[in-house]
Amino acid sequence: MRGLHFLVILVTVTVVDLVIPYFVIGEIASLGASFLFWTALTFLVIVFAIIYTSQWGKSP
Amino acid sequence: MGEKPLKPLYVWIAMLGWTAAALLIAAAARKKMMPGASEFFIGGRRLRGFVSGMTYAATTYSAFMLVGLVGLTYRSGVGALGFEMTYLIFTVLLLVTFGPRFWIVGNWYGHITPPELLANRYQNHWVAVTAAAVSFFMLIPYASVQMMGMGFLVEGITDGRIPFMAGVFIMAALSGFSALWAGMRSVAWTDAFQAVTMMATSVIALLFTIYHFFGSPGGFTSAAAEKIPELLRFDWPPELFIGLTLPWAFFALTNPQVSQRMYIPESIVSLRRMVIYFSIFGFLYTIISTLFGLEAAIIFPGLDNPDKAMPHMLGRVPSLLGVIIFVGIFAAATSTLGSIVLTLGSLFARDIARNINPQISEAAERSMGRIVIVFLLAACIVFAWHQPGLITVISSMASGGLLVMAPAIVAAFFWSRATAAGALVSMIIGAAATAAMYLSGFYPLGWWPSVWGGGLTLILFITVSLMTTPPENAKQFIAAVEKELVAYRFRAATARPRPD
Repeated sequence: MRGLHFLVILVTVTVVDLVIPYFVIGEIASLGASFLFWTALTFLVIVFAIIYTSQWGKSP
Repeated sequence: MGEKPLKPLYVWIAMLGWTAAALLIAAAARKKMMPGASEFFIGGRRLRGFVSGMTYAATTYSAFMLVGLVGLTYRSGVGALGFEMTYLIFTVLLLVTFGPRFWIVGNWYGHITPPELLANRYQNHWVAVTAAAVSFFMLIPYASVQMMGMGFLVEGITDGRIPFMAGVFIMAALSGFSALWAGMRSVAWTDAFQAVTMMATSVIALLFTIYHFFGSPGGFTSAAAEKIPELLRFDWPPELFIGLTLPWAFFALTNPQVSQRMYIPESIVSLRRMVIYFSIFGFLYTIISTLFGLEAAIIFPGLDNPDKAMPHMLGRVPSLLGVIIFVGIFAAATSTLGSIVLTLGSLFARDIARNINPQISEAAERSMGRIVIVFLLAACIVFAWHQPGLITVISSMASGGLLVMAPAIVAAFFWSRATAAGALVSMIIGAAATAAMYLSGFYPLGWWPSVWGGGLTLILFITVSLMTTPPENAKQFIAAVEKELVAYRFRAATARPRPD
């Protein structure tokens, strides 16, 4: 991944990772709130990594 | 179900039986070992994707997960999941970005340790010596705490009938044999066995406890909403969340025992599999560990010491299941310890001894690495025996202290103005300041030493680099890596020769 792309993705994910629990759903007393949010966000990042790396090592 | 200690006989059988199985795997790995330092310390860069991914996972996830993280969740709720998932998100993105770079440069120049990469890029061997010294200072107490944790666990779950030091010695013996026998290959193979054990035992235990105590997953979620609503809310102060998360966020780059694993896959396809298998493992293991913490908070609230939540859980399940969970924790702790001592052995041989005497042979490097491993384990046993109060503080500063290497590592690939002087000054002063703050308990404005130390390190690194002259090869180094990254997208995944 190019450095700039890495930086943009990292900053974006970090902002989402902090802002949503702190300002939107943190007060909700349910497993469907912060617990589900962080689980889903991590899952999306892993899916992104699987898709992004699928080109690694492939011939043109 | 009432709480009862596990029978010592069962725990002995589990520890020794499982240790024997792991040693058989280590012995099998030795048959594949070839000569050379690279073979001993990084498996000759010939490890396949599954083994690479599992050794990465088993090295990363220690007994902290099923003891410390369970306790943290028990005490403070879903913030613990947020902290651990944030670590995983950063690690996945760092591996996708830096994994290929480490792998390519490692192949070109024959790097075995992460500090070698820094010495090469910054054209200064003192950068490697400093990075190795910081790693030793931070990781020895961390390794000792792994042993102490296992000693306490064994003692606790058997009501003191198996002594603390028995757990310490067995763990040291298994880690030591695994690392000494065939280096990275035996560590990686046993790590793979240990990782599978960790995952299988924790899944079995979670399913059992969910159905046994709550009837169904739905019963668990209802009980959680009803009995522990405060733990489902996220109310951590930002100082705590960021202070805890920041050093772990860059763990993949700053901890040599894991960053060294970016060298070991045999091909770029294996590297990809390592990233994916590790990510999936970490994702599942984190969810399982935090669910154990929430379960424990519902089943037996009010523990004075949250770190005892999992030992209490072991006393409330059938003996066989208790032993199964124990084996999973034992596996997590020994695999982390074995990897740390092997990596520190390689750092001493390659980054310290070789810089003192560049003529040293690869056979001598291997021997030196083995001697250092024995000394490290002996030192850890002595630490564990004395159980000094300070060691807990020192071990907690490990990840914060290692964070000081992050700017130099990131800049090695992305900032051609970065200099050796910037790397040296920032690592030495940053590590000293972070350690001093941890040891004195000085948390200015409530923010953790890792935040202050990390900020100071970054400022020093940029300022000193701008005031000094970068090495001549910096631009070419970065450009060559970027060019090769593009090339690998279209070519077969084999190691390529070093460029002129």
